[in-house]
Amino acid sequence: MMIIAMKFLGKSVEKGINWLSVAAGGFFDGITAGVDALVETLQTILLFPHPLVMMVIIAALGYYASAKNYKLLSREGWKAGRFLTLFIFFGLLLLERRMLLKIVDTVVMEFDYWYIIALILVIFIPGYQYYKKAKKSGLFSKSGFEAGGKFKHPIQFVVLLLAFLFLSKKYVGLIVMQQSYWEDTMLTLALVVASALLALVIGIPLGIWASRSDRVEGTVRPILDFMQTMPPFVYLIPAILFFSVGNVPGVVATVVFSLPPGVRLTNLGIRGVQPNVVEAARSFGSSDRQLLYKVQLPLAKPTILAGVNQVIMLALSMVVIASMVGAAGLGQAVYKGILTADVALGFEAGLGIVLVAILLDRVSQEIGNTERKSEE
Amino acid sequence: MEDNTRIRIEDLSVIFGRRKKDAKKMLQQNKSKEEILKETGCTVAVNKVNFNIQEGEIFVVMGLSGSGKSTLIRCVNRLLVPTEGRVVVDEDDILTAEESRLRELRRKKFGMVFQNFGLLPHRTVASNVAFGLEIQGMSEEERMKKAYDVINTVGLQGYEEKMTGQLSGGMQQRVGLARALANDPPVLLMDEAFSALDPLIRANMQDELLDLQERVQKTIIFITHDLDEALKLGDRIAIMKEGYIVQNGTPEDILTNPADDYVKAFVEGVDRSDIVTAGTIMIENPTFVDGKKDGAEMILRKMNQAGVNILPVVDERDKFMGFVTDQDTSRLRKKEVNSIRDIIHDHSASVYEDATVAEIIPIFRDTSFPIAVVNKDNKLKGVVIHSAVVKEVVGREEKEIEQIIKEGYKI
Ligand SMILES: Nc1ncnc2c1ncn2[C@@H]1O[C@H](COP(=O)(O)OP(=O)(O)O)[C@@H](O)[C@H]1O
Ligand SMILES: [Mg+2]
Repeated sequence: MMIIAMKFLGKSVEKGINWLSVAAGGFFDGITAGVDALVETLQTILLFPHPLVMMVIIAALGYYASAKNYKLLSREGWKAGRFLTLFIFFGLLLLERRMLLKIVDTVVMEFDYWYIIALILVIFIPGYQYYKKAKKSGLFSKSGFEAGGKFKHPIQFVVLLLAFLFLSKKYVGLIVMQQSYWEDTMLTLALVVASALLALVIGIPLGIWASRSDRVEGTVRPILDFMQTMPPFVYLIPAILFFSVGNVPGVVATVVFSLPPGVRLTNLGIRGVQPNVVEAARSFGSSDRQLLYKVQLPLAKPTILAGVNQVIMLALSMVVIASMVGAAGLGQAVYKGILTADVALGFEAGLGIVLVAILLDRVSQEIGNTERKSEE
Repeated sequence: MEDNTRIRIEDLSVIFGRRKKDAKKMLQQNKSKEEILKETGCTVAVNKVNFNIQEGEIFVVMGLSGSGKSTLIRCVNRLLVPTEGRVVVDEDDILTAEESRLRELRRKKFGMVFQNFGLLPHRTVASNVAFGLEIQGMSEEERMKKAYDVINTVGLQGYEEKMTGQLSGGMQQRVGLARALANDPPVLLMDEAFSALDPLIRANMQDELLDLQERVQKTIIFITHDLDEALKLGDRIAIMKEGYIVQNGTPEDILTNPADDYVKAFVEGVDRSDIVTAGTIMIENPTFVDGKKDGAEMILRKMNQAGVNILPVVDERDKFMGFVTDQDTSRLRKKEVNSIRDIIHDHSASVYEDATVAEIIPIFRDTSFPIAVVNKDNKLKGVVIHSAVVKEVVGREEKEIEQIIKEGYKI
């Protein structure tokens, strides 16, 4: 009995989807054209400037996001933003083999005097920092060690030393990738940004709508639950039927998969605004629109931005899966690595995805962060 | 009497819960709040409330927590739609008003102050105060100018550009008050506006509100659960209990004639001397001596009849002249003095009807005579005797006090 019913359910869904792809063909063609245009525009923009310039632009974006609560070009700003900025820059540099090699070629000579100067600097910078903090309490005493930041500067020393070692021609091979992933990385970025953008353009208004009506919320919530519990692979099948192969079905499946947190957290954020503030705004004669823009959205902003972050991360997590239907980028490389059991390719492309993930996560979180880091 | 009614509330009921219809029916059958709750699961928050509020008065609604005060005041500007009844403000029927008219009224006619402030935490003080004006579409420059003015009025100058989260509770409530005053509304709705504040700051704010009221004459509905606050601020006080109004009157009405034990329980333990006036405790239409006509014989007879040994004297136009004692009158009869004029103690004090007991007590310290109560033309209205005052202060019965006085002030 059960088995017959299952077959029947699956079959009727299939029938329905087949019918839809024919009946609403024009509609799907329209979406295909729109999504394609969006992805291609983003790709073009990201690949247009010289890679080094693009790295600087993205790193600068990271710097702005994390240092915006201070004067941008101040000590405090640099302190807040330096880590993310350097991480983004060097991370992206790692993925662009040609640039990395070029830099190493021009900058590094083989154990000549420049390299020695660099090495002295490596010893000097953390050493001096330690000296400055620890001299009062005695450089090599226990209290001096504690005043000097404990293991901070020794670790700094080791990291810098390794970095300079790798910048020598002898060892650089250890960190240079076997091919350049720059185009793939930018394609992935374009796909993720396009999908997240679409998911937010749909999700935030839907979230606002849900926040205003219990009925809408009651309808939307189980649908979102369903969307989130369904294994994401499943979305690929109708996506292929409606949009054939390539970037578009990838983006569509990604949008469907990453939509829920955008809706949920917008709804939650607006409903979480203190009712007495909303009531006060109403008592002064706010229209619904004024209430939304002047009170609810500003106060729900932290929650909504948390939703934006989640949407972006979910979109990124679809990268490999979407490549199964022909979406381009790092996912495609990982997928190829899987099919050919190429560990090296899979690892390098996977590392690229991790880098993009950290980049997107940190930047999108820092954008929502309005607090200053507490002074030490 | 001239009708200055500004706000009229008629048969207002608010029911919370799902089965409103059943609850409404039971309410019409005069079932109690508990019965309705038990039967339908609905809460009757406001129960057939009626009152009128006059232009320029501070109308206080007082009751314990949960008695329906907040629910009631929210019906006035329709933050909450009542189940039944009518709210009329000037010529507008609030509950049937169009959405756009309602917004207009909220923008121009009402200013509301909330117990928990309800300030916008992401905005500065000035921007909070200007919020109502911003909603009305006033230009940035204009509304900021007004906001700065109002901030001055509530004594917050220098804090204009601070974020509200940085302010103390008292200051935040000043911002709330300033916000309500900024669009200069004729009606202020204040829901436990001062309840969250420290006692000292609270007393301060009350004084300032009274000050302000003297200057700008608003019609104010003020909610509180604190009797002292109600007595201090209210021109009239309505006492609420379980959704209905058990008594509605002046502070003095409430104190002198509590309608039931609920009100009495409130009133006990209040310092009445600031509230009760000479007009309430005086002996009205007292026996008096006609200074022109009455001779010694007549005076003594009057004293005998009234059972007292001191009487007030008035002239031919009923104006108060002073008091005479029985001993002095006997001297007059024995011709030890020539005329009644020589025995009138005209230095005895007189007070107006609205003098409070607190104001009368110091006068009694200087005289053993009663105190005359007169109107603005110095016409005699009544007499206040010692025991009546002491009764107000210590709350003992009159007879008991007379006993004590006779036995020599052994209180
Ligand atoms: N939104 C609501 N839903 C259900 N019951 C409510 C609601 N608001 C108030 N009540 C109930 O109505 C009664 C009156 O509440 P309220 O007007 O807040 O009293 P007060 O302001 O005098 O403390 C209380 O019993 C309260 O529980
Ligand atoms: Mg209340």
